[in-house]
Amino acid sequence: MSTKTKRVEHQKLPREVIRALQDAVGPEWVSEDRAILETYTIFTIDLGAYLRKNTRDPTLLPSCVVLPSSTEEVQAVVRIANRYKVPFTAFSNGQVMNAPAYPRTILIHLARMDKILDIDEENMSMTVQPFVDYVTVQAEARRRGLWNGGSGWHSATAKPASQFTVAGLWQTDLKYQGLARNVLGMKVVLPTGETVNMGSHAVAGTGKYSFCERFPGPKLMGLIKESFGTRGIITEITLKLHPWVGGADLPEDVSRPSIAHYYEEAKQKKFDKPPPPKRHKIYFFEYPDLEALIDGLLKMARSGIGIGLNASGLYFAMMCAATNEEAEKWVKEQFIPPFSGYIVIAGISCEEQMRYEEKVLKKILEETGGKLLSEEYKPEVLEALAPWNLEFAVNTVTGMRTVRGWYLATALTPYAPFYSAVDSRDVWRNVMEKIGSTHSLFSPIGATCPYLYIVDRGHQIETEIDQFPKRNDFKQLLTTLESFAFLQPAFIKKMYSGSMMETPGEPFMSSYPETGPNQYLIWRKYRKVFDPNGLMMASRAVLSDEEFKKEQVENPRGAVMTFHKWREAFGFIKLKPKLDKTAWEFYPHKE
Amino acid sequence: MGWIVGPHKPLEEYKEEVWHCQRCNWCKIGFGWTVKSQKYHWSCPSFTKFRYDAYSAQGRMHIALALIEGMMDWKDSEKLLEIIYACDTCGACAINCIRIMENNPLEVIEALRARAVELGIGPMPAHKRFAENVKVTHNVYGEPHVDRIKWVSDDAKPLAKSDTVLFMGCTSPYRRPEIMKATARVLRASGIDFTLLPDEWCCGSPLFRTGQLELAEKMVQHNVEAMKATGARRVIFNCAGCYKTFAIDYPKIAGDLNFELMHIVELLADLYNKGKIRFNKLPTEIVTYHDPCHMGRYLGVYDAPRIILDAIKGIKLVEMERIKDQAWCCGAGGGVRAAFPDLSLWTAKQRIEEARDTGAATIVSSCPFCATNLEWAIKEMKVRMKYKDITQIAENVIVRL
Repeated sequence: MSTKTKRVEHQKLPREVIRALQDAVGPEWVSEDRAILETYTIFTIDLGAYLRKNTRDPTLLPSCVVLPSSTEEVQAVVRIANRYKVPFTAFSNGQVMNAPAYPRTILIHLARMDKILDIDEENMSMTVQPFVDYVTVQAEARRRGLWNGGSGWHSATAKPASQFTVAGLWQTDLKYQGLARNVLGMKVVLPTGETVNMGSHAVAGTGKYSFCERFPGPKLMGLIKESFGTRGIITEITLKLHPWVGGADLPEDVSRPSIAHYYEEAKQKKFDKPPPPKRHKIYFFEYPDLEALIDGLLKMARSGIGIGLNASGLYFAMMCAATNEEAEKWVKEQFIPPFSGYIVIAGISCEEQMRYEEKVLKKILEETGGKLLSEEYKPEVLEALAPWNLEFAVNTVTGMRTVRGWYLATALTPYAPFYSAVDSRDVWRNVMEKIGSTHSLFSPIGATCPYLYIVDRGHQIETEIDQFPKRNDFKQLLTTLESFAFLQPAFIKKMYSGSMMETPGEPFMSSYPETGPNQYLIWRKYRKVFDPNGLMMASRAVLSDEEFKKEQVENPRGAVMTFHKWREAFGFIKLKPKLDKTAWEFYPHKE
Repeated sequence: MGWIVGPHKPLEEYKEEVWHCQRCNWCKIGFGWTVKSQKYHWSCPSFTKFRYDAYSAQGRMHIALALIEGMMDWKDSEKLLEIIYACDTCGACAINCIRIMENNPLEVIEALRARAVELGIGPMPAHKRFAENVKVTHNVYGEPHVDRIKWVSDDAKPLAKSDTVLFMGCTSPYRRPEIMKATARVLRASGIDFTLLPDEWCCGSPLFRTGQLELAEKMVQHNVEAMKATGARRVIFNCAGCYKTFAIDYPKIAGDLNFELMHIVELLADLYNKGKIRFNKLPTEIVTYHDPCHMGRYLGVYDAPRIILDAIKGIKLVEMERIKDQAWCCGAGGGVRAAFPDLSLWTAKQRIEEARDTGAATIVSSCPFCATNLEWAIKEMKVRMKYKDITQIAENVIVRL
């Protein structure tokens, strides 16, 4: 691209704003230094930001970054932003769509808020600040015979507070049902700077931190869940903990040999053979096709056994092979069974529980046509799967998506029924035919057996299909954008509510009133009340009346045009702006 | 052999790597369930202290991206030099990044430093003194060259000629002569003859780490020639930094070295395992072991020191939470001690606190540079803890069989 040598100019804020911020958090915790700001322009799954990075969009560079250390300091920063009408964005690790998208944004980095505020062993809960990560939660809980059940999205990458704003999938969704159902309360700084307590501690006399997510009145946490950080800043979050019988001292050797540097050692079997934690075991199995796999998984889920049940299919190859070439070979030759999964069994009450659950598992496999990988059946595959050990299964597993790849985006059907996995596969096949793919290995994997999380004893299933475009390849980034624009109507056509990662954000949300219905209008009302100046994640949050008029109707962005193109191709009812151009209406009117 | 490879490609050749960094954040904290507590879960001293992402490997990768792509200029930032030099190059970031992403931020950091020097912007003033001293006195401290062998005494005398060379480095002979003497005594007690290079120069590590590659290469050429002239077949080190520099940096410049490299702890563990030495009993002492970054993460030497400590009756080893490839740095490396003493001391204090939490009375290690920083922290913290080099523990109890 011709823009490659273009320097990006730093757009500064007035001195009085900077001085006010320095007064609020201390001068050393406000920076306008260019090198420091550059490190806040890359956010893992922010496809739009990568496109803008490639085109040298100056709004991607924040005007300043502020590091508050407490709820009070976060409030002060937000109030200053409101006083001077400056947009702001808050984030902890920077996994989702937090890159500035508006000129002269204040970036609030929560890196100093890293305290565990309370561990309540009796009520099995832990209250943490937003920069506490899963790995720390697990470590402290384990020492007390507890754990939070989740693996998070990479145990270091995700912080529970920020992951809550994206919903939160866990490896142990089968038993513990993900992060969204494991939060007892939180303290949130609203876009105006006020705070709201959510959970039982919102009621006077129930203690400093929540022990229960319920309290009289509406469950306000739903306002923040899946808000992608657009509706408030979580400054405290109380997590539910569960019994852990695996012991505090876990196997030391958790390295994986699936990288070239480790390969020699791996051949000598020095790595990735840690014994499992006490009273935990992982079983791998295979089925002849996706439909049979789903039937088997459903039966296992309903039987009550296991804490984590997932179908990983050919993802195993990417995680466990020593090189990309080896992974491709394993996939091509189907050395790794394409319709395979694993279940993690824990003897929470006693050893006998494990023996019983193993017996049930074997019986279900026998009845549903599945086969257990074992020393007798495909021991070579079992051996190859050694890197996918319990450390990965219960603690860090989703990290495999970052292995070697350029992981950027995930398509998933939110809280979908069980057989949605088959629909997801079919949709993805369509994507590959119509749009093309960005990864020679991952895309075919998604079109064979997407990654599946089995949730809540079989009440739902999460299906993930990942995209791996190179971040400096503009064409690949556009292909990814196009594929997501295609996925949305494709899922909606199949009666799902769209692809989750796109639904909460603009311009996806308003382009598909079918997902709500018209949920963007509800969130617009929320924004009017709680963010009257329209400053929090400006241009990322739901569009205001004026923004909608400008960005969707009068001067629509490229992405908006793409969505409308696919709406038409899929035969959706046409959208027409209302007379005042502040919202869509169906045309002809939908009965 | 370790696999955190060193520099040195030009900065631009890391373009794919820097774009590949997707902010997974494993460069900032300990890996997975090796983490045992909130208190000791951080892995990057620089990020832990400064908290801006710029001071983490992720941040430095993204700064490199902006510089490579021309999005920013070297002159756009007042903090740039500080950011790229306020890093111990301890490799805690790299060990996880390689594991997850197959990226090596450490190489990028060293490439940034090398470019800063090429452009005349770097290194930091304190690092320039390394170069000035090395040019004149062949050691980083600017001490008289002849004093490099001042530690030699009758009970620790090298031979005029031997198959084994003891490479002294700068820190041991000039700042920690007691470690130098202990090393020599241990060799003698083990029945290992050794000689010294007649004209040893600094190994070049401080120059490599701070991007002053041109002068570093001269050190390599001189020392390799000097080694060849002795006809020796083996070099023994008591400094983790010198050992790592010979093992990883030297071959990139001098090709295959054709002589064996060993740290004294590896030699002792090997002799013990082969039944050639044993250790007498010592009075009971609870110790904890600090893995020097250059010997651990860079070269993978984790077992040897533990074999020795385990073999000495009376010594009880209790481990800290962050050990082996997840060990917290002592804070001395990468030019940090010279240019950023506050960060260096803070890092060392964190390590001493971690050591104290084990209940040990003594922290043991096998690098004179770590020794200097850890003892500094002990002194500043005014705590009842001793530092000992592993050779100092072994020197009086080693028995040749």
